[in-house]
Amino acid sequence: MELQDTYYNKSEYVETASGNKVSRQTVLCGSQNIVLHGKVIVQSDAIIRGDLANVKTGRFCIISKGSVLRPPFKKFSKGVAFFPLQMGDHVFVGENTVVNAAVVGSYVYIGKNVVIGRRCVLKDCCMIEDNSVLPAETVVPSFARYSGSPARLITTLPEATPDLMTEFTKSYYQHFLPTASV
Amino acid sequence: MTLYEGIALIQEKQAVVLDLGTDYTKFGFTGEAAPRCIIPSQFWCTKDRRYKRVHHYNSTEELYENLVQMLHLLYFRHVLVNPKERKVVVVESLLTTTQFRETLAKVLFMHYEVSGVTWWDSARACAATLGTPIVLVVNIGAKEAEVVAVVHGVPVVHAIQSEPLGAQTLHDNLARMLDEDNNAQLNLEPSVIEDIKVRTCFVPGRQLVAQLGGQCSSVRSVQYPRASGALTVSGRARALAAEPLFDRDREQASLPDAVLRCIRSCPIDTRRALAENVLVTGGGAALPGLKARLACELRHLVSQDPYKDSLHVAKFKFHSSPCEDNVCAWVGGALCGAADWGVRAAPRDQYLREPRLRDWACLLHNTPPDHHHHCP
Amino acid sequence: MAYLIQPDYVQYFCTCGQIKPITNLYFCRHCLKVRCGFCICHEVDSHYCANCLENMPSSEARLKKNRCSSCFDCPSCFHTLSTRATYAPARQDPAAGDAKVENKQPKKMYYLSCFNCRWTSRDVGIPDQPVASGGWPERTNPFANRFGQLLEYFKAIAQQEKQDKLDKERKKYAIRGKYITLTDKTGLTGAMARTTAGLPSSESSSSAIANFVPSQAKEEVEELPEDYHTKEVNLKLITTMPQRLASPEWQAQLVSRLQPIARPLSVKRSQRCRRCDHNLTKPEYNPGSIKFKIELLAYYHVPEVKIISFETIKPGCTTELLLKLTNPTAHEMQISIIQPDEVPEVEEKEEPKSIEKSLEKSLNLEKDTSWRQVIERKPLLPTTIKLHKPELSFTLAQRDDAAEYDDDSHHETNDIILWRKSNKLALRLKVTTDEEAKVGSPAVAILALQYSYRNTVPPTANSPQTRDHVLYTTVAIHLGTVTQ
Repeated sequence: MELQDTYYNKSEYVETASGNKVSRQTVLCGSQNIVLHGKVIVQSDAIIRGDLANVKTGRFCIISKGSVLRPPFKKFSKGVAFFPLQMGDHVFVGENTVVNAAVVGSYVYIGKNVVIGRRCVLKDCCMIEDNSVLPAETVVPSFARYSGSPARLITTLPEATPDLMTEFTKSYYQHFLPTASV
Repeated sequence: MTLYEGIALIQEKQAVVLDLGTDYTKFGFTGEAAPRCIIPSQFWCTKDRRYKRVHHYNSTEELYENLVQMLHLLYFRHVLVNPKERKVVVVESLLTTTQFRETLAKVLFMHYEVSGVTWWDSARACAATLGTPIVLVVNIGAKEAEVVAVVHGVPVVHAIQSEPLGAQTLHDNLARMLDEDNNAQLNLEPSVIEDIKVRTCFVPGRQLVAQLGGQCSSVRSVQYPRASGALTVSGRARALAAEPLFDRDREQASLPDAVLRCIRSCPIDTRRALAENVLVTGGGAALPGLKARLACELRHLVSQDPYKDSLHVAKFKFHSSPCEDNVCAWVGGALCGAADWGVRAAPRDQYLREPRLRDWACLLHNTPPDHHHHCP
Repeated sequence: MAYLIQPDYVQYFCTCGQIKPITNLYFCRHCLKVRCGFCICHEVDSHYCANCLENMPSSEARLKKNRCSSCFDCPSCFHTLSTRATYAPARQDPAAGDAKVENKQPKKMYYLSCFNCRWTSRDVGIPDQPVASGGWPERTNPFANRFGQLLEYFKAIAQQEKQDKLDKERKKYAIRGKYITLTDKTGLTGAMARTTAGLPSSESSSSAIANFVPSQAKEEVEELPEDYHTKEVNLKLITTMPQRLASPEWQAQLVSRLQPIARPLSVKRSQRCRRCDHNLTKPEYNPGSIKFKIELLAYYHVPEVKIISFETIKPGCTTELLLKLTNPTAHEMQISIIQPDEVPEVEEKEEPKSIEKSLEKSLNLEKDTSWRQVIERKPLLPTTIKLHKPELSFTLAQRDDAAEYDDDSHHETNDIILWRKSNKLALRLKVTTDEEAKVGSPAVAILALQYSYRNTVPPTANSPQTRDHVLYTTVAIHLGTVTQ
């Protein structure tokens, strides 16, 4: 099934020169520490905590409504330190999802209502299904499909996942259109 | 053991041992004392997006596909070897349906191109873990309890007893009692029922049952935690879940009756030896107190009708196998498979020539050579 | 990705008859046939640990029983355990116990802890280790000794039996039993029976047989303690079934006996066409890599069909259907839509084989193809929905990654072709539903594509291959359910 068009209110979104579309109704803390590498969509009510540490995303990432990107912390004897959050290209983050991962690779699909525990590593090409909880410091290998709470490997993804994910995020971007009026 | 494993590396590829039970599948290598994995006999069905049980099938083709998926899971997720050009030891019940046996053979030989398959019936495999010549194997599985007498390596086929008194019966009974105690249709997941059984239930002794009556008020109840509030597992449910196994009301179809009937059907010179070499095994036998209760029931029942006059056995003695109860048959298969290096395995090219399995129930394989029905 | 989150709206027919989404199909360039996971041969390529992403050579993996030597899983919830560092004297101070210290301390000790369920290796009394990885106590199977004895015994019997057989053959007098019994089938137990029955075995009865002690049966069976039923049951101390089965050797019944589980390895698989033995996929060796050395997926070779939209299917009505076709290859494709029954039956060239032939083949180590008849299925085609065949054949441009930046909407369009965009086009098709179609039954339309395919395999000497081929593929399109 082909993706349907999603419309947004033109006045609500800011479009940057590199093609990022960022809603005005988002909380971007420490915006000097946030790098969106182009053609990234950040939808309303998303929170990106750049004030804690650097947050970098690749190209064609989709941060859906109400999701939170939050750099992970690590406890030391002398206190707490935050580590940067890196995200690859073509990553989809579903609605109301919290991402505390250290690394999210490329071509990763994270469903809605998911919690990614702190300092998780999501390798390239993996999928976390809706309503899953990934405990802290989990490593999700490539081509794995995780589901449940705590999330476990249930099956594998097809070999063409990188291309499927590329096509998905690109067509999501193409179908993310401003409403004709306003 | 390590020495033999070393040899196995040099010699031919170590064969794998498969015990595909109704609930759990045991899979591993020959010559090892325990299977590599014990997993539920189910696989993730991508089409339906749920787990599918191998033993739920309506047609041979569906069974074929289930087995392909299950073996793929076993080979590539758990044991991590190539199925091709490797021998397999299949441990199965003597009463496995022809449909299942032949489909499994087809999957192994044709789909996975294994080089040879040896079939071991679970009774002989269990007996092999003891090393004693005469054993009465009482195997309590998921669906059925089977009593097979193994005399000098030969199962006494006409004496086989099989009753639907497996774990499933216990689960149904437990679920019914839990529903009654909580006055609600709980519709508990099978895995939850199993968990309750494994963690709370036990089999009380004979005297205790008589003492408790149907009430069991002196048995402690247990609060079983669930996401939707705790569930009370009453003392009655805990103590009496396994009672159907000993219930003689239904035409003496209880487990002790089956054991005694099996002994009675055996040749007279083996009966005493059988009674003195009982092995109670299978996953269902792991329930605390079950073996003691069975022993007690046997000793009581043998002095009652209808066995009093026909069965003169004084003593019952029990073995314990050198493994956990639920893997006994598998371990036997691993032993036998390692001992003969798969010499007796049915080779693949023979199967390709004639895709038929030897079966004890088939006269083609069991007619004496000089009998006029024998066909060469 | 829509393929992974949506139901399978469009499914392709594999050559073997399975119906699967295009993402699960492969395309063998040598046979020019679509293959699927069901009809190809899977092979273990390399072992690696999915947690630390270390490769392990297969011989080492075999020795270590397919388990990683540095990663452990929680025996309680099966999540990966993390190594935590602590000062040795800090054990009295619970606040510092959770802290990892970076500076070099001679008394730094390590333990394992689970971030999901908070289980730690200290819970079961495993002493802390002075090194960060490895060194954890190894357990042996409690039955290993007895198992070894049994194995030795059975091997000695098997050996002896072999010897007997040789002797017998040498003496040239064969006593044949009257009955072929199960004993003969296995023989092993027959020999055992003979020895235990006191029959004279061969003189060279090995010490393994002589010294073997069979299991001794006991009269008393371990009874439950008298007060078992009145004791309180603490479920927190009793393991669950999955916890027991996670370590088949020990199957601890009490939580206090749980031990960290060495993490099982994973494998990368390569896949092979059964017919021509060419690889269909072969992954790169590096565990972290998602690249493939060989990747012959149908997604890259067969025109892809997607539904853009469709009208609800009603019995006896003609409805419209919008499809999007994509050419994934690097060559132009000539496509026409045909009825599924117009697809010519292309038999994979093969002489009708008799049993002798197939045996001969397997003996000659030739490719034997007997698996085919077992694997192949004849799919049932629903016929209630008929496609109106457009009298149209069209060309679909090759895939061009640069084209997405071009603006080329000035293609000719017509009633059937709605738009074209580089290697994609949209089609408007009509389908008619039977009067008899049952309301509520799934609506499935079947169509077939005839397409030209340019083979890029360099032609070999013995098979003068043509470069251009006309291929067919059949597609099932799910259009919801038939409604009134």
